[in-house]
Amino acid sequence: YGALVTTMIKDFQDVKIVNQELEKMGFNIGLRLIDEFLAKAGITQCRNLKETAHYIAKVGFKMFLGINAEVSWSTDSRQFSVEFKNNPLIEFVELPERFKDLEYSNLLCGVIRGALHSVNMIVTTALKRSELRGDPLSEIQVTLKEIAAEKVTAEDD
Amino acid sequence: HMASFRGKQGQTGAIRAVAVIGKENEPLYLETFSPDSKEEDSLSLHYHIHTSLDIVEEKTSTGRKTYANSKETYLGQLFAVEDYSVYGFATNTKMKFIVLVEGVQANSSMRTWIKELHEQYLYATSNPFCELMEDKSGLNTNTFRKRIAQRVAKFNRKSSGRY
Repeated sequence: YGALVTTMIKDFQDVKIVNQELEKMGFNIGLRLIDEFLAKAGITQCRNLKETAHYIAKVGFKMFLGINAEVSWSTDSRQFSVEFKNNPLIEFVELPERFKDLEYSNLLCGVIRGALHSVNMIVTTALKRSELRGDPLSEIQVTLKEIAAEKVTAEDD
Repeated sequence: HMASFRGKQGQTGAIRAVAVIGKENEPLYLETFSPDSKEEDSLSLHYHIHTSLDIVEEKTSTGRKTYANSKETYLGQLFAVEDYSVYGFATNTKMKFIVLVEGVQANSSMRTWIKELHEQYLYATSNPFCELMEDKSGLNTNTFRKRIAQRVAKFNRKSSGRY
């Protein structure tokens, strides 16, 4: 992952673009990852956002990253945060000063957004805190924008 | 011989210098540790480290292996000069780790310490941002320096009998 990020930095030269591209890559991963997740977790549907948050943090993070994550809720019930430590993506990584605006783990934000998109939940995600930047833990904030109606696609005919 | 050691700053057995040398014998990390940092002290320590490289060459070219399955060679004490002994460790990738200590140390404690040094080197060079840093060795970071300094301090406290 580190080699990927540094190659992107060299190619794009702009940290903002790298952040966006990492999120996009994550989104594409998430779109497919959700199937594996649902199958392995043995669930078909979450009844509400609270369950969704729980499954992401307690099951998803454990399944794919091998770490335990916590859920914290904001006063707005459409927004929650996944908080975690010992992110395996950042092992050995030291962010040089000039890349302090790099959201190194932004891929994870995209994965969450992509996975939820596949089950018709439109969310925005943001890396609020990062162990790489000296914070005590990492935090991804998830905000529900809307539940999309089931779309009937042309292929269904 | 041990009885004649004065210990320059009154502290015997302390690590005075640490160096990580690359495969072309280029210094990647070189730090001296003195309680009262004297400039001429630093220079002579650097000189001793430089001298030790010849001895490392000699020892590694005879193909001596310490462990049957490992190509990593703990070289033990390389030589002694003035009040100091110099210890070395070479990897099969020709990375060399040199430590200069006051007095003579047990090989086992030096080997353990140098192993920790090697481990920190591995952590530091595993940083993916190495190649995007000015110093591509990855050893010029505050974290690496701090960690080595901490380990030197710990070793020095132990060897002087103070905790």
